[in-house]
Amino acid sequence: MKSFDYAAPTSLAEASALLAHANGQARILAGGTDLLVQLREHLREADLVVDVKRIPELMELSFTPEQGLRLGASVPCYRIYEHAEVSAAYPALAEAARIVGGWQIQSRASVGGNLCNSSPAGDTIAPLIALGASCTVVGPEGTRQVAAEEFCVSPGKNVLRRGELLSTIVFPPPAKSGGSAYERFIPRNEMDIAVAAAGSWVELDPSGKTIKNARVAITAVAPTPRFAAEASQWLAGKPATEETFAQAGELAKKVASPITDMRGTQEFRVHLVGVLTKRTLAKAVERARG
Amino acid sequence: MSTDQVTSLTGVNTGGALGTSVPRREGAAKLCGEARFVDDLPRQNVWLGGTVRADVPHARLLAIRFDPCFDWSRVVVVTAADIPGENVVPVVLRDQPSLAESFVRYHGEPVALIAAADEETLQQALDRVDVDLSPLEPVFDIDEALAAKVPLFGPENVFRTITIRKGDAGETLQTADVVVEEVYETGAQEHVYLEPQGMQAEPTASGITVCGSMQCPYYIVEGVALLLGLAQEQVRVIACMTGGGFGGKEDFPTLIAGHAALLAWKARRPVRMIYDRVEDLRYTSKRHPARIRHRSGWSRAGRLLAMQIEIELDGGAYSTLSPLVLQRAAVHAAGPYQCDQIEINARAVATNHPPRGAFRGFGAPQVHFALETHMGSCAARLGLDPVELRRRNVIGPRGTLATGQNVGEDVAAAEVFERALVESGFLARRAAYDDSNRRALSAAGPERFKRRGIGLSLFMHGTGMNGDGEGLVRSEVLLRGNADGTVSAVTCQVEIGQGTQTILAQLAADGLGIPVEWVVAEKPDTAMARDSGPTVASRTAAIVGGLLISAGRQFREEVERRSGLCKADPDAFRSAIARLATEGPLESRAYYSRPPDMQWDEATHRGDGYLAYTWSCCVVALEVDTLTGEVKVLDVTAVQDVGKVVHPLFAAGQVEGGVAQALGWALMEETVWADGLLRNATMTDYVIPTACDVPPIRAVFLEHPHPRLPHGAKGLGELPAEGPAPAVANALRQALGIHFNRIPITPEIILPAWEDRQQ
Repeated sequence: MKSFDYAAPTSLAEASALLAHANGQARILAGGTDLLVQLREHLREADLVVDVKRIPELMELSFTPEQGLRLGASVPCYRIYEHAEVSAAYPALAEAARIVGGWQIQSRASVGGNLCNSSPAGDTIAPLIALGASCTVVGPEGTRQVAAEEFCVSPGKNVLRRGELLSTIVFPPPAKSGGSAYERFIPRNEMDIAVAAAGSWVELDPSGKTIKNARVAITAVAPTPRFAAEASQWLAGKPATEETFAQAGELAKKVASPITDMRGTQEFRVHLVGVLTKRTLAKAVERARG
Repeated sequence: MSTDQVTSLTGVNTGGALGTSVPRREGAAKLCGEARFVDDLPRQNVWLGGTVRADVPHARLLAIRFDPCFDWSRVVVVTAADIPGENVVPVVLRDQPSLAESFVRYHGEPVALIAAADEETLQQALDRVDVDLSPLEPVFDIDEALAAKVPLFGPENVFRTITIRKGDAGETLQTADVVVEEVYETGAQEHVYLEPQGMQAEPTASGITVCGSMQCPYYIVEGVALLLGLAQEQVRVIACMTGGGFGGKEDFPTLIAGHAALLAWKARRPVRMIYDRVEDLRYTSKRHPARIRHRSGWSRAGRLLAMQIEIELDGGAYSTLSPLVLQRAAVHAAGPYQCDQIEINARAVATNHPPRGAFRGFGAPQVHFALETHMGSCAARLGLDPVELRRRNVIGPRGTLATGQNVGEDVAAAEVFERALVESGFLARRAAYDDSNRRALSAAGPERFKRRGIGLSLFMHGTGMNGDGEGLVRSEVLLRGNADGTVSAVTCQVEIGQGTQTILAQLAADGLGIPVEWVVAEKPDTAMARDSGPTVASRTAAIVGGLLISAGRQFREEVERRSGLCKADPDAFRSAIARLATEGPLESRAYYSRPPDMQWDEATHRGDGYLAYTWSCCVVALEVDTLTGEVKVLDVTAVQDVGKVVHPLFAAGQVEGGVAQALGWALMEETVWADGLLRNATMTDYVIPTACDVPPIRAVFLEHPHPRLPHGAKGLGELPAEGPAPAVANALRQALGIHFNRIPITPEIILPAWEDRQQ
């Protein structure tokens, strides 16, 4: 690993200034579970590493049923699944946070870091998209909001410009008859990178039999995590049945454009999108019904 | 993971510590991080060694170019031209050079070595070497290698051919009612020991000292002496605490020890070589991939009349241990069945893959996968219950194996089989799964897509080295009385996590008739210990442990004779040891010699292939998600007759670990090769089971002490890794109605096969 400068700012403005005026390549450090490995293996370079864990906003987790969840970008995964109300309000998010690496990783790694690493297979990203999260980005020119599905632009790349950092991820308040779920396929039971994954959110009408709104996201099957817009729109107004879920799975497959690699073939991954979409919808509906 | 029962049926009362789970000798040191592995040795004045490798699988080596812009005086460089002795890694056939001289035969073959004071300088130097290679056509496929258009080894690219004949299988097959022919294939497998390969060498006034991660100190004595042109007495080898081996530290350490020794010899200072995980995954040995063809002839009633078996192992670019792996494969290939007409033809084939080597089971897991999967197919063809088919053919007392070995009374194949059926509830569960699989067709929700199956395998594993191997090594152990009244057990068996230090202390204590705490298991050091043989072949507890018992009994007699004590209480006996040891050397040695009733003809492969056999039956129950092809193993039951359980906890640990390793081989561990290079050479991409993937494992031990061993304890280390793969294939046969003849059976294999079946 080549040597680099290190800074640990305590405010967003200071962090943004450091990032904007760095000589050479600046990298943001949250839990470090991706960055440190990448630096060691020369997959990313850094002249300056900016540790953002001392910025209060980035370590803040606040939730009320009325306001929803505000998740600081550096909050480690364990704080999500150990938070009973957050886990109940956003089960897809808790499910994903619980399978990012193992326990040791989850005590360091953050959802914000997972998003900013922008891996096509990032486990927490499908839930963010399905749950309709919005990302607060702070930079030299002020603050802007970016929808979760717009955040990643290509493998390892995202919308952050020079001097910008992700401060908070904002989740809408949980819907009354809402539910969500995340599932991935890996070749073993734990500690692996998704071959394909899906996250679904649904809101049911008062009868509990019809889907009022839905959002489906799929990951590890395209250069970036994908919002399955057509499937999501099509679901609105449909009966909450296995047939509906299966058809939504077929529609979700349309936005998958996976590659064949050592972890899985193109065909297998597309097939999995159908299965996982169907399964997460079924689980989300079950949860929505309470 | 849980082992809910350790059963002793006919527990031999040996008194003392034998058969009890005494504390692990090095356990506390490991828990506290105090155990010293090779990379924990002090770093002062130690240079680091690295390897320049060929980047094509087959080539003529034209030149090695050193960038003139680099200051080469900062480092030490070794090429084949610098080797003072013979450029060879001696294992069996001596075909592998330590450093490539005029040809390279696998991607990553070492071409030159560099040592430097620090990692940065080493890396800079390694980056400034160019190897000039003129590529030749490589061969990776067994059939292409056998066509011998690309010459790699001898006239036919065959390292060894073995033929075993009993009766005339060919003739019987012509008249059999039913003949079943199928081909089975198994993939390579990585050992994934926790500690990668590592060695340190240091020149001394009289020669050289090598220490590191290894299973076989005396292999390294031989290798380093040949390479440096020294007498074996000038080479001292000390095994450090070794972080796992599984066979991967049997043959390979001879190569890396030689490299560290060459660098240290030239640099005249200590040099350490430690592979990182990627280097280790790419360039060290793997389990031999195998292709095995069975032709078996049956009577309509399900009597096994004839077996014709062809075995081909992909040995990689150099022979290493392939000749012996092939031999174990051949001798085990016909399994624990009574069949009077057998023909086995086996070949180890040279290819341009990295050399394959020893791996837990040593050729036996491959042939057991083939045979036990084949038994399932044969039962289906004959329309018979596979349980009944095995009952009708299992070897019984005074039966003869493929080599003509008469197993006498020491055969528990039928007993482990029946016991496993009972312990696993096999028949009832099989019926229940048939029922639930039928009901799934009309079920709603996830159950609709679940299928379940239970399968088994019956197999055996020969204790110790092949044929007369043990007789040739003539292992020697020493017990030495110490001034404090303790007794040192001096061997060169290595603690690789299996509990050697503890077990050998237990066995010595048993022979001596003293508390286990009074025995010191000395660390393996060739300056202190004569050759007690390699730490391989499930031989440590059985063979070396047996010798320690004999040595212990002699030692006791000697002390009693010289001190006049008889049946003294332990404290008086200890005082006598202390007194005699201060007066002069108080020692007892024991040597292995072939039991007089054991016969083996290496030329014809007739006779006693092994000293003794451990018999086992493994049952696997599993559930398949037919939408994704995922397999969830529900539980595993392993019943084995090990003769005598020395340490119940370690014995159960061997079973649990072996089962987990074999489930990985059967279901997950795909090695992806491209142009002779392992492409998934990271722990991210080479998928092994985690704790979450290991099902409850029930280990049941039967104890029929073997008369050829003083304590009756047969080998256990390798056996548990041999049954699960075919049991998985047989369970999948029930779950899906599909015969899988090739492993690993990954979701991407299962899914299309299931979909094809639905059409």
